[in-house]
Amino acid sequence: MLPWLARRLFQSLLLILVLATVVFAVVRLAPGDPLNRMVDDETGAADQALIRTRLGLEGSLVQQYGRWLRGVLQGDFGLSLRQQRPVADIVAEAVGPTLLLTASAYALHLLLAVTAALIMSTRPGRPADHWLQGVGLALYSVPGFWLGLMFIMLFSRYLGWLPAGGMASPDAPFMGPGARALDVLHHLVLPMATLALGAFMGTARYLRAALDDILAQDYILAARARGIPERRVLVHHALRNALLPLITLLGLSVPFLLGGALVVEVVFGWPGMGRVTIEAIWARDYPVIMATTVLTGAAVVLGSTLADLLYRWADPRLRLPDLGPAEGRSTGGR
Amino acid sequence: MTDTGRLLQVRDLRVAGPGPGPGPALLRGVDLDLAPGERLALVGPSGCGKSLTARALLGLLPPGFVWSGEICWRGSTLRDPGSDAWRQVRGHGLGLILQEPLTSLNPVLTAGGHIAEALRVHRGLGRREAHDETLGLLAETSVPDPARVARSFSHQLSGGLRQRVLLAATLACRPTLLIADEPTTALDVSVQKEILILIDRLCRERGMALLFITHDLSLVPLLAERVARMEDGRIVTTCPASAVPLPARPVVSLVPDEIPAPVLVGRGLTVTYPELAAPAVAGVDLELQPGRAIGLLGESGCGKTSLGRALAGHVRRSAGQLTLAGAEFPAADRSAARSQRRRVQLLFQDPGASLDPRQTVGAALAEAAGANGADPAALLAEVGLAAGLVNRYPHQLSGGQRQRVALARCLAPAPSVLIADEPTSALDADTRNQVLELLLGVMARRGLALLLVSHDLEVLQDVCDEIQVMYGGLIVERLPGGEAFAPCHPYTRQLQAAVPSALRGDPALWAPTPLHPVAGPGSMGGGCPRFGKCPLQKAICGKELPPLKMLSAGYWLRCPEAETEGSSHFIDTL
Repeated sequence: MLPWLARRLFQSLLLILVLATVVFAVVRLAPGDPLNRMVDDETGAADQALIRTRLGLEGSLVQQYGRWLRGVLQGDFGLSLRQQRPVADIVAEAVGPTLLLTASAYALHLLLAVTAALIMSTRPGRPADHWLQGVGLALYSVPGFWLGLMFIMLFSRYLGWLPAGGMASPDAPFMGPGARALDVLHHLVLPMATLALGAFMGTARYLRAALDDILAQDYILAARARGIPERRVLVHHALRNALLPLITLLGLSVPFLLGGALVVEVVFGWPGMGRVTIEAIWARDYPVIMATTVLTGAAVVLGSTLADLLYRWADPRLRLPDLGPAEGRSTGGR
Repeated sequence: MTDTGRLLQVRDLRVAGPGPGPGPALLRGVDLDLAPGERLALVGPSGCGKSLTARALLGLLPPGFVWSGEICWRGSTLRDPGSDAWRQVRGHGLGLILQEPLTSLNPVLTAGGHIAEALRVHRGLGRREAHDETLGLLAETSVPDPARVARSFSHQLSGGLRQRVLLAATLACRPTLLIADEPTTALDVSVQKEILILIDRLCRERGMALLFITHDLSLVPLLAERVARMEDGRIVTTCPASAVPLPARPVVSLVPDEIPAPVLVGRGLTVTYPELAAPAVAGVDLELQPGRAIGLLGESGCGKTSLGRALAGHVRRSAGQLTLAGAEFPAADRSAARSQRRRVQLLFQDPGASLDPRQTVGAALAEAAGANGADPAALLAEVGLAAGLVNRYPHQLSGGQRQRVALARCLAPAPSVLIADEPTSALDADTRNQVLELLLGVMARRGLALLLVSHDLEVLQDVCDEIQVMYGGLIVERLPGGEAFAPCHPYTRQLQAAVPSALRGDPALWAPTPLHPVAGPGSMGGGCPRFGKCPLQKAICGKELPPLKMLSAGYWLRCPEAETEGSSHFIDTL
């Protein structure tokens, strides 16, 4: 187990390094120069050179990459070109909101997916199955930004139930801690629902296929033959097995959720990593772009490592070895 | 109409499969009566509706199946499978044991979890009581070390232990009728014997009635008093179990003539897998001669499949030499190895899995024939099939036809060696005999060297010129088949004694036997792999591996304790 984990972590680090290098090269080789925003035709060449040095943009690309990597290894992601603040501070402020949004959206999406899969699998071909498939697929097919805009129109503009954007009301600083938390939750509902509703049908269909497969297994027949109530057979015997492969899927959903969050954050003005990244790209704020992409990449890589680790722990067939030699093991079918 | 003295009364049970409109009729009017404590065997060819009858009784037909008729349990008619009344009958009235114990246990629940769940649902026991009762039930089903087994998951248990755990979980509901659907078909003979004895004992002690579903007629008199024979969705005859004849055996003429020069020769063949501590095959010498059938006998996990695949060049051997017609096999040169490999063909147990479902019979044969241009129709004729089958897909064929197609595919490249790995284990007795007779006929006609790998001692005894018995990766005994088959190795004798016909012939063997000792780490200590499980063992057996010694012409034995008997006995029989 430990050598496996060490190997996995080493591979992950290597992967993140490759990612950082590629992103660095792509961002820098793309046309455009951050100086364009800071100088005009009247700025002298000497001043331009001075600004360039201040921003850490002098020297060849390789030299710049070396400086950047050395800083990162020491925990220093540099200064934002646009805001003139440490990148670490900017990212630290944005990570919390993004985590809140993606984690709650993931939980909601899982809840919806499991419920939908159970309904579809136990009522195949019935109206509930057809309706769920139709609505779920429609939600899955529309782009996230459009769904977000529709929600804003319906729930904030016409019904006025929920705020249209941001993470806090203007008067939040004057609220007590409890009221402030409620205020954040109030703002969270729409972006979270947009992310979760857009994604749940993919997982639900996957789960339904797994459930259909499992419900045809001998151990389900055996459990039913022992008179175990149907609800318990479904949840205790079938769902537990169907959720196992979902752990791997969880690792693979991280990039999907982060990517979706990027769009949804922009639509709802959610002050998270997505918005920071988009703004940094517009401003060619290299250090911020690098920090957010490397962090996102790291989250994806570590997420799938964590999922594999969790899977090994959750599946007794991987966690526990066989006992003794295969004396009288079944020879399989007759 | 209803009779309260009856446990179960079934009248005109009909089941139709799913389909647009009225589905295919699968059960066509089954009548069954069972008194309390009565034991009935339900026999018949595969697909005749035995298992479907069991599922209909439990109210657990697959989705889309439609049933009609009358099912009366203890005088009250069961109507709605979803009703609480029928659910109470499931488990509490009827218990079910299935063929494949690995897939009948939930992989993410502990063995004890299955039993405790049934106890809590049916008897309303608390956590603590359920745990104690679980250990008691495991002890009742003769599970060694119940506490450890209760904590284990199904993948950690042997086939025999899994089946005992399932029995314990079924008994937890205190059923009055046990439905055992092919309960030992997936198990080795020695384990089969233990499970049959266990079911017999539990039925007697608890006064349980038994519905014993099997395709193996030889097992019927061991467990049942009465037997009902099903055919095509109906019960055709019912008779006392003692009147059931033993299943027919294949008719093959073994001609003991001089042994030709070998075509495939293995010396010191060893196969190791990284995930296994002990080698699967540990230095085996084996020769295959044209026109001779060699049987490789062994229980699951003994290494017989690995040896067969190593001989076919499909598993890399970690030590030893293998030559095909005097040349290194497989050859180092890639293209030479490919053409050489066609001369050694493998025939598998399950033709449903070894035939490509998207390839017609003709396409499969043409592909296998390659450049040598063998005619698919001629190949089909050779295995006794009509030429018209070339356009069929595997799912349109019966099990026996599929195995014949698989054989024809093996013959297409005109091989000189055929290795058949459990080729008839998935077939009914009659089909099995036909396929074996065909296989031996093809061997004699083409002068093929045949290795028949099987766990079925009787099959090998009937059709092989020579039998090699494998255990723990080693050959422990080598002896002639047919009439002269008379093993001396204690392991082979144990296998022989567990064969159903032997159980039937000798009532003393039916007496309670001591438990199978818990398997320790195999041949790791360097001693005999049977050490710890052998009635003849001495202390030295645990330290030194005895050599495979030739005691007379055609007879080899790896057991110094049985040697004196073996040498004298064998000279007598020859």
